[in-house]
Amino acid sequence: MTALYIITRVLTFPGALVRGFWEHLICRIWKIPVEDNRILRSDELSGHIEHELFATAGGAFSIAFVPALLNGILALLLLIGSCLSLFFFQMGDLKVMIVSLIAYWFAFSLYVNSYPSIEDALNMKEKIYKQGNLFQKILFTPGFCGCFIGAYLERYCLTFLLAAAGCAAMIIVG
Amino acid sequence: MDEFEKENGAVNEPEVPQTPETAPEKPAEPLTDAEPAGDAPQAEGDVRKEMEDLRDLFQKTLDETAQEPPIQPLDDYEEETEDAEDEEIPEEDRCACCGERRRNTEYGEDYPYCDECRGLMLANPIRFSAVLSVLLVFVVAALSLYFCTESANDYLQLFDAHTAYQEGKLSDAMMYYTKYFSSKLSGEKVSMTAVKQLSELEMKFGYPDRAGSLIETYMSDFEQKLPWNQKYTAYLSEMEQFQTAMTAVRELISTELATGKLENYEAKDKELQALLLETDEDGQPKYNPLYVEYFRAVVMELAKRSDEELLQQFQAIEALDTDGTHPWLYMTSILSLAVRTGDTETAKTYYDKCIAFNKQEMQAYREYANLHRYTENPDPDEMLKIAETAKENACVGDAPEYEMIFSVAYLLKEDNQAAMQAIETYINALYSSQQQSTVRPFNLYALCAAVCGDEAAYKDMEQLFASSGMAISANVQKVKDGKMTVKQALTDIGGDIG
Repeated sequence: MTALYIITRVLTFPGALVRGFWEHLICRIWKIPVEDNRILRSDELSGHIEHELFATAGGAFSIAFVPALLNGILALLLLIGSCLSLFFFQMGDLKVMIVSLIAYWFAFSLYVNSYPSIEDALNMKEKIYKQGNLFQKILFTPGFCGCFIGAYLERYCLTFLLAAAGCAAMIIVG
Repeated sequence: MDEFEKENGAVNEPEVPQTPETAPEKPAEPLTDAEPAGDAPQAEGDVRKEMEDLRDLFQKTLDETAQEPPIQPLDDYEEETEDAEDEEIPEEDRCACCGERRRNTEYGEDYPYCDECRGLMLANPIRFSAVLSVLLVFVVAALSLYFCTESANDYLQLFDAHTAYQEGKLSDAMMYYTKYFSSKLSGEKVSMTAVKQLSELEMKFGYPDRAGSLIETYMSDFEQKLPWNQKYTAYLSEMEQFQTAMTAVRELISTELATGKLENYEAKDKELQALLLETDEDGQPKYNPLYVEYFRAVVMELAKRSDEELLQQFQAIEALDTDGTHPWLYMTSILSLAVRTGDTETAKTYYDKCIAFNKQEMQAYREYANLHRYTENPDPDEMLKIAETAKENACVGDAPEYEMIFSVAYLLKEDNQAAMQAIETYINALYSSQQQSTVRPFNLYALCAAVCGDEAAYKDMEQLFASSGMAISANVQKVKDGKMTVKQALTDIGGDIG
C-alpha cells in the first residue's frame, strides 16, 4: 500500500508540493519546528513535511484544515476554466487546450493531495476533543470530519480513485 | 666584493632561521670558492665567526622547540572538551537531533530537542520546489481563467443553447447554436460540442444536408476518424443519401413540385417504387428506402390522396425507421392526419411523442388543440390548457403562435373581446418579425373583427387579401352575413380559420 501511496504522490507531485508548502507556511506562522522539510519522499509521510505536533486545538486544526481549504479553492478555480474548455464546449484552440489540460492535471493533483496526514488528523482529534473548549469543538467539528475522513481516504489512495472517477464522469457527461 | 655579497645575501638575514630541509646542503663552499679581495684573510675570519654564531643560535632554538609539547590540533581539543561535558549529561536527557546537547524540558517534560536544534528547525527553509509549484499553480489558474473570460461571450451563448437542449427545448437550442455560429468569422475556432449538438439538431429537424455540411466544415479528417465521433461522421453519408434521393425524385416530379399538382399519380408512384429496386456497384440499394418512401408520401399529398391512405404511408415510414433517428419524416404528419381522420387515440399517442421529442413543437400543440375543436362538441377549456402549455414552452423570439389557440378557444366560449385581443397580439408579432405565415391567422382575425363589429379591422383584412389576389374565407363572410354561427365556422375542418 505504501508503494502505491508513493506512486500516487509522484503522479500528482504538483499538488503534493503545494500542500507541503502550505504546511510549512503554517508551521512558520505557529512557530512549530520543521524536523524534515522534504515533501516528496519514499515513506508514508510523502506529500507532507515532518514537523512537531501542534500543542493547541487551533494549531492542530489549522495544519489539517487550512491546506485542505486552500488546495480545494485552487483546485476549484483550475477546474472551472479547464472543464468548460475541455469537456463541455471542447474549444478547438490548441493553446487553450494545452493550458486547460495542465490546469486539469493540477486541479486533479491538488484534490488528491488536499487532506492531512493521519498523524495530523489524530493530533487534531486529540487536541480538539480532549483539550479544546466547547466553542472550538462546535466550530471545528465540520472541518474535522472532512479532514479526518479525508486523511484515511488519502492514505489508502482513495482520493486518487475518487478524482479519477470524477474525471471519467466528466468525460462521459461532457 | 659585490659578487660575494650577491651570492651570500642570506648570511646578512639571521632573523629567518632555516630548517634542515630548507637550509643549503653545502653552506661553506661558496665562501671557499669566492675570489679573495684586498683584505681577504681578515674578512674571511669575521664571516666564519659570524657563521658559527649563527649555527649555535640555530641549534639552540631547535633544541628549545624540541623540548616544548607538540601543538595539539583544534578538533582534538574540542572533542576532548565535549567528551568531558558528555560525561555529565545522561543519555535520556540528550537532544534527539544532535545527541550531544541537553534537551530543553521547558517546552515539555518529554521535549526531545535542545535549543540550538530547535532554532535550526524553526529556521528550516521552505523547499524551493514547493515555492515554485505554488507559483506555477497560480500562473496556470490565472491563465485558465483568462482564457475562460476571453471566451465568456461564447460560453454564455453556448450555456443558453446547452440548457435549452437539456430541457428539451430544441427549437431554442437550435436558435442559440445558429446564433453562435453566425457570430463566428471564417476560420475561427469553434466549440466542438456546439458542432456536434447543432448537427444532431439539424438531423432531428430534418436537415441532413445542413448536418453533414457542419461536420464537413468544422471536423478535421483526424477527428472524423475518432471512434467516438462515428455518430457524427454518419451524418455525412446521411447527407449524401438524402441528396441522391432528392435529386432522383426531382428528376421524376420537378414539374409537379413546381405547380403543386399531380394528375398521373399511379405512373409517378410506380417510377418512385422502381427507385427502391435500384442498386449501386456493390449491389447495395442505391437509394435509402426511408427517403424514397417519404417522397412517395409527398407525391400522395400532391395527388390529394385520402387521409387514411396518407396515414398508412407515414406509418410505413415509421416502421422503416427502426432506430428512430428520422422522426421528422413522419411524426407530426401522423399526428396531423390522426386529428383529421378523428383517430383520437393515435393523435394523443403522437402528441405525446412529439412533445417528448421537442417541447417547443408548436405544430403538435396546434394539431392537438384541433382534436378538441373539430368535433361536434368542442372543448374550449381543454384547448385553453393546451394553449397555456404551448405558451410556457414557446420558442424565444418567435411570434406567439399559441395565441391562435387562445383566440379560437375564447371564440368558442363566446368571449369575443379576449379572442380579438389574442389574435391581434399574434398578427402584430407576425408583422414586426416579418415571419412567414398561412392565411389562417388572418381569416381568424377577420372573423374576430366581424363578431366584435370592428368594421375598420375587417376592411383592412379584406384589402390585405385583395392585395394578394385572394379573398377572406367563405365561412368568415357567412358568419358576417349571419348565415353561419361562429361555432359552425370554427369546427368546419376545411374552413381555413385559425
